[in-house]
Amino acid sequence: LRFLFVSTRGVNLAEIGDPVREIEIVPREEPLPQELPLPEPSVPERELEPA
Amino acid sequence: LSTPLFFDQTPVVAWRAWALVETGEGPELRSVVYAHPWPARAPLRMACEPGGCLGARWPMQPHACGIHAFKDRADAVAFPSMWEARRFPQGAFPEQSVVGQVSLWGRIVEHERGYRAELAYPYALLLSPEQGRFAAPLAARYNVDVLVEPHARP
Repeated sequence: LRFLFVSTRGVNLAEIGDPVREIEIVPREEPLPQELPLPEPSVPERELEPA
Repeated sequence: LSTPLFFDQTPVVAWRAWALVETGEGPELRSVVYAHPWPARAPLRMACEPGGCLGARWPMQPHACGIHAFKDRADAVAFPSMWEARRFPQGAFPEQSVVGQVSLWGRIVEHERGYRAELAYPYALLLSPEQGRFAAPLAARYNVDVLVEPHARP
């Protein structure tokens, strides 16, 4: 119903003007090592303290 | 985003406006023109609209599809009322809108005053004082910065 009386064709391109260039920005498949979250410690710190 | 994305190039950050709609799950961002809900914590992927493609392969013209955003904030601020005025020449604009920045990535066509992108997610939202009650729920829903600007227009 939104578009029953209003054609949207071409309206938006008029707002942003003519095309200038095309670019592509793609995320990596895997994060770099420094971007990985720190692993959880396998042994609680309290258990490493001397008795 | 629920799944982090890692980029070698910074995504394009541009300005856009969203319709702000109250739903049973809280305030929701929707596209001004097509009223598509913007998903929370997941990218929005462009989809071609019937009648907007004219048989071309995206993103080549005369394609008009893609997630649109502006280079200048002023253009994003002006867009909802301009669009509403076209839809409702007699006035009585039924929706309220918010302005903010949006990250764009994937295939992007840069235009003179804006962009058309394949993928997008809100980067930050700017609310007027009258919209301040939406700040916390929008921040929680979309996990983005939401600022209430003292002099911003609703």
